[in-house]
Amino acid sequence: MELFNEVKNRYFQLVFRIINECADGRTKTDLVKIVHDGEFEQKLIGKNQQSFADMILNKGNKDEKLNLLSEKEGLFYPCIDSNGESPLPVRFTNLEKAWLKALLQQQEVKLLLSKNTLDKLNKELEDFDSPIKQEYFEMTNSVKLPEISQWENYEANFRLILNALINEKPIRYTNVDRNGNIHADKLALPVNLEYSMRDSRFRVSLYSIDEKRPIMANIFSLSSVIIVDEDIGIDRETAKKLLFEQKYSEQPVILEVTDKNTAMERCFMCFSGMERTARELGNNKYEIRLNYYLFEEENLIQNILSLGPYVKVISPQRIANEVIKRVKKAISL
Amino acid sequence: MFNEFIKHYNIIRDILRDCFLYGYYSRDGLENKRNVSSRKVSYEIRRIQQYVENEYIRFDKDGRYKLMSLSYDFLRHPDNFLVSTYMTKSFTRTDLLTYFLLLLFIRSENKPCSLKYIEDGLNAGGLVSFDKISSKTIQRKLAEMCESIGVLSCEAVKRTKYYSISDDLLKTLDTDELKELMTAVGLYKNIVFPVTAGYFCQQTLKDYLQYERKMKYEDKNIYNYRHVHFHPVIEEQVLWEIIKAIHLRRKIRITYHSPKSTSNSNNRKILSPYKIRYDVRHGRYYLISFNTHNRCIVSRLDRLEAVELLEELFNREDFDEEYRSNMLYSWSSASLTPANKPETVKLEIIINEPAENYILEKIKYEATLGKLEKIEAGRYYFTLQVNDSYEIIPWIRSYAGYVKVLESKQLAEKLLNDWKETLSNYGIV
Repeated sequence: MELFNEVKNRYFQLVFRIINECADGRTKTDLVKIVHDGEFEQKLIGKNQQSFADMILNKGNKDEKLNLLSEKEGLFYPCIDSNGESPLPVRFTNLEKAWLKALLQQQEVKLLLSKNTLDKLNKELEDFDSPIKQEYFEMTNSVKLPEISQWENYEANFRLILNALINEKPIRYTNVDRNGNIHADKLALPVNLEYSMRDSRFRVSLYSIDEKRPIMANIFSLSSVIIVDEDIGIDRETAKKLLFEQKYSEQPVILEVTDKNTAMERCFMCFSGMERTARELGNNKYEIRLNYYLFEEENLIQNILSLGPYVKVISPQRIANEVIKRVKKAISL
Repeated sequence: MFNEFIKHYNIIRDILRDCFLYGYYSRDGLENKRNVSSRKVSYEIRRIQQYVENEYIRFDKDGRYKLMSLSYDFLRHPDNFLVSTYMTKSFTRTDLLTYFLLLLFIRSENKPCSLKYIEDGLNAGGLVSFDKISSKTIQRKLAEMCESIGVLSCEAVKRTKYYSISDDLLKTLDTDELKELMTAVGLYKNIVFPVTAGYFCQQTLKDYLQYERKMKYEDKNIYNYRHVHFHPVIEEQVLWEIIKAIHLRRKIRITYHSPKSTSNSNNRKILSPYKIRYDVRHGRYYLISFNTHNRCIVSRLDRLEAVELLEELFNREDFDEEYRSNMLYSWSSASLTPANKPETVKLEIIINEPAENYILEKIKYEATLGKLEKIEAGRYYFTLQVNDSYEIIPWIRSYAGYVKVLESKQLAEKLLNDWKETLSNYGIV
């Protein structure tokens, strides 16, 4: 199957949903709403100015009606009765089966799927020949951290945190930071499980109830993790919002980029996950404004330095000064 | 059925990349860059506006020019919005009707059905008019749904083919196991390539829970990602063809993107595809393949216009050693040029211990083939081999103030000149 296939077209998917939703009969109003929610904001118009909803509701002449639904006593049903089952079966396509089989080969998928689930899926897919194999890929420019030594502890922590996240429960834990300081019996609400593709590590984003601020922790360095039923006075959505608000820089970084040696392209690729705008200044120069999180500042500075003389920090002066300081030091070494 | 959809993903691929990565082009600018008519640019921009959700599109004014850009924030937006651009392939009314009528009919019969049985059934119900949809069309659609798409299965009894709904591979999973799978797919959809297939898989699983199991599932968005770039998804159509070719050991003919001269035969090469290298830092795919003279060829996927799978086969194992020797010391994509040896790069690392020990750790884990040697407290030598030392310049630059290049002299000189130029940009001489 092609990756770009019409059965995955948004409107194909919409027809699929509409037919299954009509299993027990749906009114015209219901259907108009489903179409409205599922189609593009700018509605599509076919020949003879027919909308998609018109086609679904069999309006127009006989060449324009889809007739996939039939109307009985004001309710629309699939044109073929499914005898109590959902009218259209839901099955994975070959492309999806290939991806699913590749998923089962991921080392850390065992943290998410029980042995029973894995065994069942592996059995179902054992004869399916997936072209997605890890040996066909090699990751470069990545970070290879040491293996996690206490895998069992890591696995237990991972499962427990995942459970806490799904059920929106706070946890108590002990952590040892980079400098060896022990933080015992801390109370926090897990906000997100974070995966870094660069070092293939999972970390947990927490909202510390004790310190009233968002923090990030390595899952393997936690111990004595337990889910608790304590009233913490904050929910996950609020904690997330606080993370966005407290940690987002008020001022963007403004860079002037000279587009030599594909500097613009490298610049955009480095900063692709940041909200940004750009404009041409003329003379092969461009201005880029990047919004960033304060905890990303060191990475941002390193990225700016990596782009060399083609990038100049216009503001904030604090970041420009830091870049200048490091460059001066580099020359003096 | 609708003009808004496209037959080939390539139609929007370049403009989508320009809008996403750069965003500073006006319509005139894009017209000049891509060497296409302003009408085409307007058309494709309008399509992209329709395909991508509004919250990711922004318009800025630059004088009289309107600039469209696509942008997201990695923490707030864990879902790759560019995947929706793959849900836009054009279809005909016949495509739509035959696909759904066949699924509806075979499902309702709940038994294997022959072509004739299906045709008779659809005809009796007045659902298909054979002067509009021919028997051949139905037969072709059934074959496509079996062999290519995989939602139907087919069994031949004597000379007659019988079609059924494909086996439900989730049938043995209970509710909790399905939820587990949903959690796993939700995480890996951004990690396992091609990610578009992961997103499709997640949607199918959601539909399965809702319609086959009548379960309500609430997606809690519990994941976020770092260093997961969204833009590589634009190359996944090409990536998917290459992965299939590698797997089937089939040679390919690739056509490089060349907007100004499409007829240049130098742009078309026959290659044995071996591996995909993905530069995690920049989000860039490279194809490593071998030409007919067994020479290692590196191609950026965003520079490939098309990939054609040929019938001719190759033996992948023939290139195992070639790949190893060519790419072992490649930082990202540079291969070893024939008759050349890897270069030695020697750095001195100067840090304040123990406060800056993390710098040492980072360097060690980012360049795992390097060798670290302590000279004295706070001073270390770090030696590594690379195919092309110019490829690691950005990496060395990122440690400005902590590292000094000792070897090679040319590399040290290049970096020193870079730093002097950087300072002069700030008005410091």
